[in-house]
Amino acid sequence: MKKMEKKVELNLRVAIILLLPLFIFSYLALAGVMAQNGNGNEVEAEVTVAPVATINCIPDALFVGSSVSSIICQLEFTNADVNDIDLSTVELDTSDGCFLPVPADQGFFTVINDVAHVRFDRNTADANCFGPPASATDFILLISGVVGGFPFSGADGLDYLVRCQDGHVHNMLWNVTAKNTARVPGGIINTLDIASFDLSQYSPDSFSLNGFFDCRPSGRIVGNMKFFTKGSVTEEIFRFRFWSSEPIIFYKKVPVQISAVFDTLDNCVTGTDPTHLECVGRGTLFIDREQPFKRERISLDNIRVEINGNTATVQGGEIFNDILDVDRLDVSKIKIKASLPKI
Amino acid sequence: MRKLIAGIVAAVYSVMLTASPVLAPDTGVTATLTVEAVCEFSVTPTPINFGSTDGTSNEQTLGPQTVTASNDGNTDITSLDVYGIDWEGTNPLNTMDVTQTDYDDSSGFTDLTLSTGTSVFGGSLADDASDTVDFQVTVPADQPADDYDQTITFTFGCDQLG
Repeated sequence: MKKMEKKVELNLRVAIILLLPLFIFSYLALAGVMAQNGNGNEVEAEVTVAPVATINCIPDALFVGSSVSSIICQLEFTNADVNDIDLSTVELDTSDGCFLPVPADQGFFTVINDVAHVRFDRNTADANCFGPPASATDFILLISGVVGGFPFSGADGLDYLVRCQDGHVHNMLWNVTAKNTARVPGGIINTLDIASFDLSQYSPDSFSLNGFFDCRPSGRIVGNMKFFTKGSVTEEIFRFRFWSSEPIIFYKKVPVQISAVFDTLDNCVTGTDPTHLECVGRGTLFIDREQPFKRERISLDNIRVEINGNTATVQGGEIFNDILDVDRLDVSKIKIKASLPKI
Repeated sequence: MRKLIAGIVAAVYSVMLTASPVLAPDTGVTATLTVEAVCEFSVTPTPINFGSTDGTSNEQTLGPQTVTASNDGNTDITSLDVYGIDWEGTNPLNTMDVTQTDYDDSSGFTDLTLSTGTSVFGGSLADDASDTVDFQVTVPADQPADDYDQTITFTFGCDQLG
Protein backbone atom coordinates (compact mmCIF):
# COMPACT_ATOMS: atom_id res chain seq x y z
CA MET A 1 0.00 0.00 0.00
CA LYS A 2 2.80 2.41 0.85
CA LYS A 3 4.60 1.58 -2.34
CA MET A 4 1.53 2.55 -4.27
CA GLU A 5 1.28 5.88 -2.48
CA LYS A 6 4.82 6.67 -3.45
CA LYS A 7 4.13 5.97 -7.00
CA VAL A 8 1.22 8.38 -6.86
CA GLU A 9 3.45 11.05 -5.36
CA LEU A 10 5.92 10.73 -8.20
CA ASN A 11 3.22 10.84 -10.76
CA LEU A 12 1.79 13.94 -9.20
CA ARG A 13 5.15 15.64 -9.28
CA VAL A 14 5.63 14.73 -12.90
CA ALA A 15 2.12 15.77 -13.70
CA ILE A 16 2.51 19.09 -12.00
CA ILE A 17 5.77 19.81 -13.76
CA LEU A 18 4.36 18.83 -17.13
CA LEU A 19 0.93 20.36 -16.83
CA LEU A 20 1.76 23.59 -15.07
CA PRO A 21 2.86 25.41 -18.21
CA LEU A 22 -0.32 24.22 -19.89
CA PHE A 23 -2.40 25.46 -16.99
CA ILE A 24 -0.73 28.80 -17.19
CA PHE A 25 -1.20 28.93 -20.93
CA SER A 26 -4.83 27.97 -20.58
CA TYR A 27 -5.36 30.55 -17.94
CA LEU A 28 -3.89 33.24 -20.10
CA ALA A 29 -5.94 32.01 -22.97
CA LEU A 30 -9.08 32.10 -20.87
CA ALA A 31 -8.98 35.85 -20.76
CA GLY A 32 -9.13 35.88 -24.52
CA VAL A 33 -11.73 33.25 -25.08
CA MET A 34 -14.17 34.74 -27.44
CA ALA A 35 -17.26 33.55 -28.96
CA GLN A 36 -16.25 30.90 -31.40
CA ASN A 37 -18.04 31.15 -34.62
CA GLY A 38 -18.39 28.06 -36.68
CA ASN A 39 -18.85 27.86 -40.37
CA GLY A 40 -18.61 24.71 -42.36
CA ASN A 41 -21.45 22.70 -41.01
CA GLU A 42 -22.92 22.12 -44.37
CA VAL A 43 -25.74 20.02 -45.68
CA GLU A 44 -25.58 18.89 -49.26
CA ALA A 45 -29.08 18.72 -50.71
CA GLU A 46 -29.89 16.77 -53.85
CA VAL A 47 -32.93 16.66 -56.08
CA THR A 48 -33.61 15.18 -59.49
CA VAL A 49 -35.91 16.96 -61.92
CA ALA A 50 -37.41 14.40 -64.26
CA PRO A 51 -38.27 15.13 -67.91
CA VAL A 52 -41.87 16.21 -68.43
CA ALA A 53 -43.12 14.40 -71.50
CA THR A 54 -46.27 15.05 -73.46
CA ILE A 55 -47.32 12.11 -75.60
CA ASN A 56 -49.85 12.30 -78.41
CA CYS A 57 -50.38 9.20 -80.48
CA ILE A 58 -52.13 9.26 -83.84
CA PRO A 59 -54.69 8.07 -84.64
CA ASP A 60 -56.96 8.42 -81.62
CA ALA A 61 -59.21 5.70 -83.01
CA LEU A 62 -58.18 2.71 -85.07
CA PHE A 63 -60.55 0.49 -87.02
CA VAL A 64 -59.97 -3.20 -87.45
CA GLY A 65 -58.97 -3.82 -91.06
CA SER A 66 -58.45 -0.17 -91.96
CA SER A 67 -55.63 0.97 -94.25
CA VAL A 68 -53.81 2.88 -91.50
CA SER A 69 -50.27 1.53 -91.60
CA SER A 70 -48.61 3.28 -88.67
CA ILE A 71 -49.19 4.44 -85.15
CA ILE A 72 -47.19 7.60 -84.72
CA CYS A 73 -46.48 8.96 -81.29
CA GLN A 74 -45.39 12.54 -80.91
CA LEU A 75 -43.14 13.29 -77.95
CA GLU A 76 -42.59 16.74 -76.57
CA PHE A 77 -40.66 17.81 -73.52
CA THR A 78 -41.19 21.03 -71.66
CA ASN A 79 -37.85 20.70 -69.90
CA ALA A 80 -35.63 18.52 -72.08
CA ASP A 81 -34.31 18.46 -75.63
CA VAL A 82 -35.98 15.86 -77.86
CA ASN A 83 -32.70 15.57 -79.76
CA ASP A 84 -31.20 14.02 -76.64
CA ILE A 85 -33.57 11.04 -76.78
CA ASP A 86 -31.72 7.74 -76.76
CA LEU A 87 -33.71 5.99 -79.47
CA SER A 88 -32.49 2.56 -78.38
CA THR A 89 -34.37 2.99 -75.12
CA VAL A 90 -37.73 4.06 -76.55
CA GLU A 91 -40.49 1.53 -76.44
CA LEU A 92 -44.24 1.35 -76.61
CA ASP A 93 -46.12 -0.72 -74.10
CA THR A 94 -49.74 -0.99 -73.23
CA SER A 95 -51.33 -1.11 -69.85
CA ASP A 96 -51.93 -4.80 -70.61
CA GLY A 97 -48.21 -5.39 -70.50
CA CYS A 98 -47.38 -5.92 -74.15
CA PHE A 99 -44.14 -4.60 -75.56
CA LEU A 100 -43.38 -3.00 -78.91
CA PRO A 101 -39.85 -1.79 -79.61
CA VAL A 102 -39.12 1.07 -81.94
CA PRO A 103 -37.81 -0.32 -85.24
CA ALA A 104 -34.07 0.11 -85.59
CA ASP A 105 -34.52 1.97 -88.88
CA GLN A 106 -33.78 5.64 -88.15
CA GLY A 107 -36.53 6.58 -90.58
CA PHE A 108 -38.96 5.63 -87.87
CA PHE A 109 -37.78 8.48 -85.71
CA THR A 110 -37.95 12.09 -86.85
CA VAL A 111 -37.71 15.41 -85.06
CA ILE A 112 -39.78 18.25 -86.51
CA ASN A 113 -40.06 21.59 -84.74
CA ASP A 114 -38.89 20.20 -81.40
CA VAL A 115 -41.40 17.37 -81.57
CA ALA A 116 -40.10 13.83 -81.89
CA HIS A 117 -42.21 11.48 -83.98
CA VAL A 118 -41.82 7.80 -83.30
CA ARG A 119 -43.45 5.55 -85.87
CA PHE A 120 -44.64 2.12 -84.84
CA ASP A 121 -45.66 -0.38 -87.50
CA ARG A 122 -49.37 -1.07 -87.24
CA ASN A 123 -49.08 -4.74 -88.25
CA THR A 124 -46.43 -5.39 -85.61
CA ALA A 125 -48.49 -3.53 -83.04
CA ASP A 126 -51.52 -5.65 -83.96
CA ALA A 127 -49.52 -8.85 -83.66
CA ASN A 128 -47.74 -7.92 -80.43
CA CYS A 129 -50.24 -5.80 -78.59
CA PHE A 130 -53.71 -5.41 -79.96
CA GLY A 131 -54.76 -8.72 -81.34
CA PRO A 132 -56.52 -7.03 -83.14
CA PRO A 133 -59.42 -7.09 -80.70
CA ALA A 134 -62.67 -8.91 -81.39
CA SER A 135 -64.69 -6.09 -79.82
CA ALA A 136 -64.17 -2.39 -79.19
CA THR A 137 -61.32 -1.96 -76.73
CA ASP A 138 -59.66 1.05 -75.15
CA PHE A 139 -55.91 0.67 -74.91
CA ILE A 140 -53.54 2.84 -72.95
CA LEU A 141 -50.35 3.36 -74.89
CA LEU A 142 -47.32 3.89 -72.70
CA ILE A 143 -44.24 5.43 -74.23
CA SER A 144 -41.04 5.31 -72.22
CA GLY A 145 -37.37 5.88 -72.78
CA VAL A 146 -34.39 7.95 -71.75
CA VAL A 147 -33.68 11.57 -72.68
CA GLY A 148 -30.46 13.25 -71.66
CA GLY A 149 -29.74 10.39 -69.29
CA PHE A 150 -33.06 10.68 -67.47
CA PRO A 151 -35.98 8.27 -67.83
CA PHE A 152 -39.27 9.59 -69.12
CA SER A 153 -42.70 8.14 -69.70
CA GLY A 154 -46.06 9.26 -70.94
CA ALA A 155 -49.40 7.82 -71.90
CA ASP A 156 -52.13 8.28 -74.46
CA GLY A 157 -55.30 6.43 -75.24
CA LEU A 158 -56.21 4.45 -78.33
CA ASP A 159 -59.77 3.40 -79.10
CA TYR A 160 -59.68 0.23 -81.16
CA LEU A 161 -63.02 -0.12 -82.95
CA VAL A 162 -64.35 -3.16 -84.70
CA ARG A 163 -67.35 -1.65 -86.41
CA CYS A 164 -68.10 1.93 -87.34
CA GLN A 165 -71.43 1.78 -85.54
CA ASP A 166 -69.68 1.71 -82.19
CA GLY A 167 -71.30 4.83 -80.80
CA HIS A 168 -70.12 7.06 -83.62
CA VAL A 169 -71.68 9.11 -86.38
CA HIS A 170 -73.08 6.80 -89.01
CA ASN A 171 -72.48 8.89 -92.09
CA MET A 172 -71.36 12.39 -92.83
CA LEU A 173 -70.97 14.84 -95.68
CA TRP A 174 -69.04 18.08 -95.33
CA ASN A 175 -67.93 20.95 -97.51
CA VAL A 176 -66.26 24.29 -96.83
CA THR A 177 -64.27 26.91 -98.72
CA ALA A 178 -62.48 29.78 -97.08
CA LYS A 179 -61.13 32.79 -98.95
CA ASN A 180 -57.65 33.81 -98.02
CA THR A 181 -57.29 37.55 -97.41
CA ALA A 182 -54.57 39.64 -95.88
CA ARG A 183 -56.89 40.35 -92.97
CA VAL A 184 -58.25 36.87 -92.41
CA PRO A 185 -56.19 33.91 -93.58
CA GLY A 186 -58.21 30.93 -94.69
CA GLY A 187 -55.47 28.67 -93.39
CA ILE A 188 -51.76 28.52 -92.63
CA ILE A 189 -49.42 26.28 -94.61
CA ASN A 190 -46.60 25.52 -92.22
CA THR A 191 -44.91 22.90 -94.36
CA LEU A 192 -44.95 21.91 -98.00
CA ASP A 193 -41.69 20.07 -98.33
CA ILE A 194 -41.39 19.42 -102.04
CA ALA A 195 -38.02 20.12 -103.65
CA SER A 196 -39.55 21.69 -106.74
CA PHE A 197 -41.86 23.98 -104.80
CA ASP A 198 -40.87 27.15 -103.01
CA LEU A 199 -43.53 27.65 -100.36
CA SER A 200 -42.30 31.16 -99.62
CA GLN A 201 -43.36 32.22 -103.11
CA TYR A 202 -46.86 30.80 -102.81
CA SER A 203 -49.82 33.12 -102.26
CA PRO A 204 -53.00 31.17 -101.51
CA ASP A 205 -56.32 32.60 -102.69
CA SER A 206 -58.55 30.01 -101.04
CA PHE A 207 -58.68 26.78 -99.07
CA SER A 208 -61.30 24.06 -99.41
CA LEU A 209 -62.11 20.88 -97.61
CA ASN A 210 -64.81 18.46 -98.61
CA GLY A 211 -65.58 14.82 -98.20
CA PHE A 212 -67.93 12.15 -97.05
CA PHE A 213 -67.98 8.79 -95.36
CA ASP A 214 -70.60 6.18 -94.89
CA CYS A 215 -70.86 3.22 -92.59
CA ARG A 216 -71.66 0.12 -94.61
CA PRO A 217 -73.74 -2.78 -93.24
CA SER A 218 -70.51 -4.74 -92.87
CA GLY A 219 -69.39 -2.22 -90.28
CA ARG A 220 -66.61 -0.79 -92.44
CA ILE A 221 -66.29 2.84 -93.43
CA VAL A 222 -66.00 3.95 -97.04
CA GLY A 223 -65.59 7.50 -98.22
CA ASN A 224 -63.35 10.12 -99.68
CA MET A 225 -61.92 13.45 -98.71
CA LYS A 226 -60.06 16.19 -100.52
CA PHE A 227 -58.20 19.24 -99.33
CA PHE A 228 -57.13 21.81 -101.86
CA THR A 229 -55.81 25.30 -102.01
CA LYS A 230 -55.72 27.54 -105.05
CA GLY A 231 -53.25 30.35 -105.49
CA SER A 232 -50.22 31.42 -107.41
CA VAL A 233 -46.47 31.17 -107.29
CA THR A 234 -44.33 34.15 -108.17
CA GLU A 235 -41.67 33.08 -110.69
CA GLU A 236 -38.86 35.06 -112.23
CA ILE A 237 -39.15 35.42 -116.01
CA PHE A 238 -35.95 37.25 -116.88
CA ARG A 239 -33.48 39.91 -115.74
CA PHE A 240 -32.38 42.99 -117.51
CA ARG A 241 -29.33 45.04 -116.63
CA PHE A 242 -28.10 48.39 -117.99
CA TRP A 243 -24.33 48.10 -117.86
CA SER A 244 -23.40 48.17 -114.18
CA SER A 245 -26.78 49.19 -112.80
CA GLU A 246 -28.86 46.99 -110.50
CA PRO A 247 -30.71 44.31 -112.49
CA ILE A 248 -34.36 44.75 -113.29
CA ILE A 249 -36.22 41.50 -112.64
CA PHE A 250 -39.48 40.58 -114.26
CA TYR A 251 -41.82 38.20 -112.52
CA LYS A 252 -45.02 36.46 -113.41
CA LYS A 253 -47.64 34.81 -111.28
CA VAL A 254 -48.20 31.18 -112.13
CA PRO A 255 -51.55 29.71 -110.99
CA VAL A 256 -51.09 26.69 -108.77
CA GLN A 257 -53.46 24.25 -107.16
CA ILE A 258 -52.31 21.99 -104.35
CA SER A 259 -54.51 19.12 -103.31
CA ALA A 260 -54.27 16.24 -100.89
CA VAL A 261 -56.67 13.35 -101.21
CA PHE A 262 -57.30 10.17 -99.31
CA ASP A 263 -56.67 7.06 -101.39
CA THR A 264 -58.78 5.14 -98.94
CA LEU A 265 -60.90 6.75 -96.29
CA ASP A 266 -61.73 3.92 -93.95
CA ASN A 267 -60.55 5.20 -90.58
CA CYS A 268 -62.78 8.13 -89.67
CA VAL A 269 -64.24 8.86 -86.30
CA THR A 270 -66.46 11.69 -85.09
CA GLY A 271 -67.96 10.45 -81.89
CA THR A 272 -71.43 11.92 -81.48
CA ASP A 273 -70.36 15.45 -82.40
CA PRO A 274 -69.80 15.98 -86.15
CA THR A 275 -67.82 19.19 -85.56
CA HIS A 276 -65.03 17.01 -84.20
CA LEU A 277 -63.71 14.60 -86.79
CA GLU A 278 -60.46 12.76 -87.35
CA CYS A 279 -59.73 10.79 -90.51
CA VAL A 280 -56.46 8.93 -91.01
CA GLY A 281 -55.25 6.88 -93.94
CA ARG A 282 -53.02 6.78 -96.99
CA GLY A 283 -53.14 9.52 -99.57
CA THR A 284 -51.62 11.43 -102.44
CA LEU A 285 -50.47 15.01 -102.82
CA PHE A 286 -50.88 16.76 -106.15
CA ILE A 287 -49.32 20.02 -107.25
CA ASP A 288 -50.81 21.34 -110.48
CA ARG A 289 -49.15 24.27 -112.19
CA GLU A 290 -50.81 25.96 -115.11
CA GLN A 291 -49.13 27.63 -118.11
CA PRO A 292 -47.75 25.21 -119.04
CA PHE A 293 -49.71 22.52 -117.28
CA LYS A 294 -47.52 20.39 -115.08
CA ARG A 295 -48.66 17.92 -112.44
CA GLU A 296 -46.52 16.49 -109.66
CA ARG A 297 -47.72 13.55 -107.65
CA ILE A 298 -46.31 12.59 -104.25
CA SER A 299 -47.44 9.56 -102.32
CA LEU A 300 -48.33 10.15 -98.65
CA ASP A 301 -47.85 7.09 -96.45
CA ASN A 302 -49.97 8.82 -93.87
CA ILE A 303 -52.56 11.52 -94.23
CA ARG A 304 -54.65 12.97 -91.49
CA VAL A 305 -57.46 15.51 -91.36
CA GLU A 306 -58.83 16.75 -88.10
CA ILE A 307 -61.80 19.08 -87.79
CA ASN A 308 -62.07 20.60 -84.37
CA GLY A 309 -64.80 23.16 -84.01
CA ASN A 310 -64.10 26.10 -86.31
CA THR A 311 -60.64 25.06 -87.47
CA ALA A 312 -59.14 22.08 -89.21
CA THR A 313 -55.70 20.55 -89.64
CA VAL A 314 -54.42 18.68 -92.68
CA GLN A 315 -51.18 16.73 -92.44
CA GLY A 316 -49.39 14.24 -94.64
CA GLY A 317 -46.08 12.53 -95.26
CA GLU A 318 -44.01 9.57 -94.17
CA ILE A 319 -45.09 10.66 -90.76
CA PHE A 320 -48.10 12.91 -90.49
CA ASN A 321 -46.64 16.36 -91.02
CA ASP A 322 -43.24 16.10 -92.66
CA ILE A 323 -44.43 16.83 -96.23
CA LEU A 324 -47.66 18.74 -95.73
CA ASP A 325 -48.79 20.59 -92.64
CA VAL A 326 -51.74 22.98 -92.82
CA ASP A 327 -53.44 24.26 -89.72
CA ARG A 328 -55.90 26.94 -88.64
CA LEU A 329 -57.96 26.06 -91.67
CA ASP A 330 -61.12 28.12 -91.37
CA VAL A 331 -64.09 25.76 -91.34
CA SER A 332 -66.45 28.08 -89.49
CA LYS A 333 -68.81 27.99 -92.47
CA ILE A 334 -68.64 24.24 -92.93
CA LYS A 335 -71.78 22.51 -94.12
CA ILE A 336 -72.28 19.16 -92.50
CA LYS A 337 -74.87 16.49 -92.91
CA ALA A 338 -74.51 13.72 -90.42
CA SER A 339 -76.56 11.05 -88.81
CA LEU A 340 -76.06 8.84 -85.82
CA PRO A 341 -76.22 5.06 -86.16
CA LYS A 342 -79.59 3.48 -86.61
CA ILE A 343 -80.44 1.34 -83.65
CA MET B 1 -6.79 17.03 -30.98
CA ARG B 2 -9.20 18.46 -28.47
CA LYS B 3 -11.02 15.90 -26.38
CA LEU B 4 -14.17 16.71 -24.63
CA ILE B 5 -15.52 15.01 -21.60
CA ALA B 6 -19.22 14.75 -21.67
CA GLY B 7 -20.91 16.98 -19.19
CA ILE B 8 -17.91 19.18 -18.54
CA VAL B 9 -18.87 22.74 -19.21
CA ALA B 10 -16.48 25.54 -19.88
CA ALA B 11 -15.18 26.95 -16.62
CA VAL B 12 -12.09 27.48 -14.53
CA TYR B 13 -11.55 24.58 -12.18
CA SER B 14 -9.19 24.58 -9.20
CA VAL B 15 -7.90 21.62 -7.37
CA MET B 16 -5.69 21.47 -4.26
CA LEU B 17 -3.02 18.91 -4.66
CA THR B 18 -1.27 17.71 -1.53
CA ALA B 19 2.01 15.83 -1.67
CA SER B 20 2.52 13.18 0.97
CA PRO B 21 5.47 13.66 3.33
CA VAL B 22 7.86 11.17 1.85
CA LEU B 23 10.32 13.37 0.04
CA ALA B 24 9.56 16.68 1.60
CA PRO B 25 7.48 18.38 4.22
CA ASP B 26 3.84 18.86 3.41
CA THR B 27 3.58 21.05 0.40
CA GLY B 28 0.34 22.27 -1.07
CA VAL B 29 0.13 23.08 -4.76
CA THR B 30 -2.88 24.64 -6.26
CA ALA B 31 -3.39 23.57 -9.84
CA THR B 32 -5.72 25.50 -11.99
CA LEU B 33 -7.38 23.78 -14.90
CA THR B 34 -9.29 25.68 -17.46
CA VAL B 35 -11.79 23.81 -19.53
CA GLU B 36 -11.87 25.89 -22.64
CA ALA B 37 -15.18 26.87 -24.08
CA VAL B 38 -15.79 24.72 -27.08
CA CYS B 39 -18.34 25.94 -29.50
CA GLU B 40 -19.11 23.04 -31.77
CA PHE B 41 -22.06 22.20 -33.87
CA SER B 42 -23.04 19.53 -36.35
CA VAL B 43 -25.90 18.63 -38.62
CA THR B 44 -26.84 15.15 -39.76
CA PRO B 45 -27.50 13.54 -42.09
CA THR B 46 -25.77 14.93 -45.11
CA PRO B 47 -26.46 14.69 -47.93
CA ILE B 48 -30.23 14.91 -47.87
CA ASN B 49 -31.91 13.60 -50.99
CA PHE B 50 -35.32 14.91 -51.99
CA GLY B 51 -35.70 12.24 -54.66
CA SER B 52 -37.15 12.96 -58.06
CA THR B 53 -40.08 14.85 -59.50
CA ASP B 54 -42.66 12.58 -61.06
CA GLY B 55 -42.50 13.90 -64.63
CA THR B 56 -45.80 15.77 -64.57
CA SER B 57 -45.96 19.35 -65.72
CA ASN B 58 -47.15 20.98 -62.52
CA GLU B 59 -44.65 22.49 -60.14
CA GLN B 60 -43.89 20.06 -57.38
CA THR B 61 -42.84 20.35 -53.78
CA LEU B 62 -40.58 17.62 -52.47
CA GLY B 63 -39.77 16.92 -48.87
CA PRO B 64 -39.64 17.54 -46.07
CA GLN B 65 -36.21 16.16 -45.39
CA THR B 66 -35.22 16.47 -41.78
CA VAL B 67 -31.78 17.20 -40.42
CA THR B 68 -30.81 17.21 -36.78
CA ALA B 69 -28.82 20.19 -35.57
CA SER B 70 -26.76 19.39 -32.46
CA ASN B 71 -24.77 21.45 -30.06
CA ASP B 72 -21.66 19.29 -29.71
CA GLY B 73 -19.73 21.79 -27.62
CA ASN B 74 -19.83 22.62 -23.96
CA THR B 75 -21.41 26.02 -24.09
CA ASP B 76 -24.63 27.47 -25.31
CA ILE B 77 -24.95 28.38 -28.93
CA THR B 78 -26.59 31.77 -28.84
CA SER B 79 -27.00 32.44 -32.52
CA LEU B 80 -27.72 30.05 -35.26
CA ASP B 81 -28.05 31.17 -38.86
CA VAL B 82 -28.52 29.38 -42.12
CA TYR B 83 -27.94 30.32 -45.72
CA GLY B 84 -27.67 28.55 -49.05
CA ILE B 85 -26.54 28.89 -52.60
CA ASP B 86 -28.46 28.41 -55.83
CA TRP B 87 -29.17 24.86 -56.91
CA GLU B 88 -26.74 23.76 -59.60
CA GLY B 89 -27.39 21.11 -62.21
CA THR B 90 -24.84 18.80 -63.75
CA ASN B 91 -25.24 20.99 -66.81
CA PRO B 92 -23.79 24.35 -65.72
CA LEU B 93 -26.56 26.12 -67.61
CA ASN B 94 -29.16 24.57 -65.36
CA THR B 95 -29.71 26.38 -62.10
CA MET B 96 -32.56 26.82 -59.68
CA ASP B 97 -32.91 29.76 -57.35
CA VAL B 98 -31.87 29.29 -53.74
CA THR B 99 -35.27 30.59 -52.69
CA GLN B 100 -36.94 27.44 -53.97
CA THR B 101 -35.87 25.88 -50.69
CA ASP B 102 -37.94 26.42 -47.57
CA TYR B 103 -37.01 25.44 -44.06
CA ASP B 104 -38.33 25.44 -40.57
CA ASP B 105 -37.72 23.87 -37.24
CA SER B 106 -39.83 21.14 -35.71
CA SER B 107 -42.78 23.50 -35.19
CA GLY B 108 -43.80 23.06 -38.81
CA PHE B 109 -43.27 24.99 -41.99
CA THR B 110 -43.83 28.69 -41.67
CA ASP B 111 -42.54 29.66 -45.06
CA LEU B 112 -39.03 30.50 -44.07
CA THR B 113 -37.24 30.82 -47.36
CA LEU B 114 -33.61 30.03 -47.77
CA SER B 115 -31.51 32.82 -49.21
CA THR B 116 -27.91 33.56 -49.95
CA GLY B 117 -27.78 35.93 -47.00
CA THR B 118 -27.72 34.53 -43.52
CA SER B 119 -30.98 34.57 -41.72
CA VAL B 120 -31.60 33.98 -38.06
CA PHE B 121 -32.88 30.52 -37.69
CA GLY B 122 -33.69 29.52 -34.20
CA GLY B 123 -31.92 31.64 -31.66
CA SER B 124 -30.14 29.61 -29.06
CA LEU B 125 -29.31 26.00 -28.82
CA ALA B 126 -28.40 25.01 -25.31
CA ASP B 127 -25.36 22.98 -24.41
CA ASP B 128 -25.87 19.36 -25.41
CA ALA B 129 -29.23 20.19 -26.97
CA SER B 130 -30.39 19.36 -30.47
CA ASP B 131 -33.20 20.43 -32.72
CA THR B 132 -34.60 19.25 -36.00
CA VAL B 133 -34.85 21.36 -39.10
CA ASP B 134 -37.11 20.45 -42.00
CA PHE B 135 -36.27 21.40 -45.57
CA GLN B 136 -38.46 21.21 -48.63
CA VAL B 137 -37.85 22.25 -52.21
CA THR B 138 -40.37 23.49 -54.76
CA VAL B 139 -39.38 22.69 -58.32
CA PRO B 140 -40.82 25.13 -60.91
CA ALA B 141 -42.93 23.59 -63.67
CA ASP B 142 -40.47 24.38 -66.46
CA GLN B 143 -37.27 23.48 -64.64
CA PRO B 144 -34.87 21.67 -67.03
CA ALA B 145 -34.46 17.98 -66.32
CA ASP B 146 -31.22 17.38 -64.44
CA ASP B 147 -29.67 16.33 -61.14
CA TYR B 148 -29.32 19.36 -58.87
CA ASP B 149 -27.20 20.02 -55.80
CA GLN B 150 -27.40 22.75 -53.22
CA THR B 151 -25.13 23.49 -50.30
CA ILE B 152 -26.90 24.68 -47.16
CA THR B 153 -24.62 26.16 -44.54
CA PHE B 154 -25.28 26.70 -40.86
CA THR B 155 -23.32 29.33 -39.01
CA PHE B 156 -23.34 29.55 -35.27
CA GLY B 157 -21.91 31.55 -32.43
CA CYS B 158 -21.43 31.09 -28.72
CA ASP B 159 -21.28 33.52 -25.83
CA GLN B 160 -18.03 35.13 -24.96
CA LEU B 161 -16.44 33.87 -21.80
CA GLY B 162 -13.98 35.58 -19.58
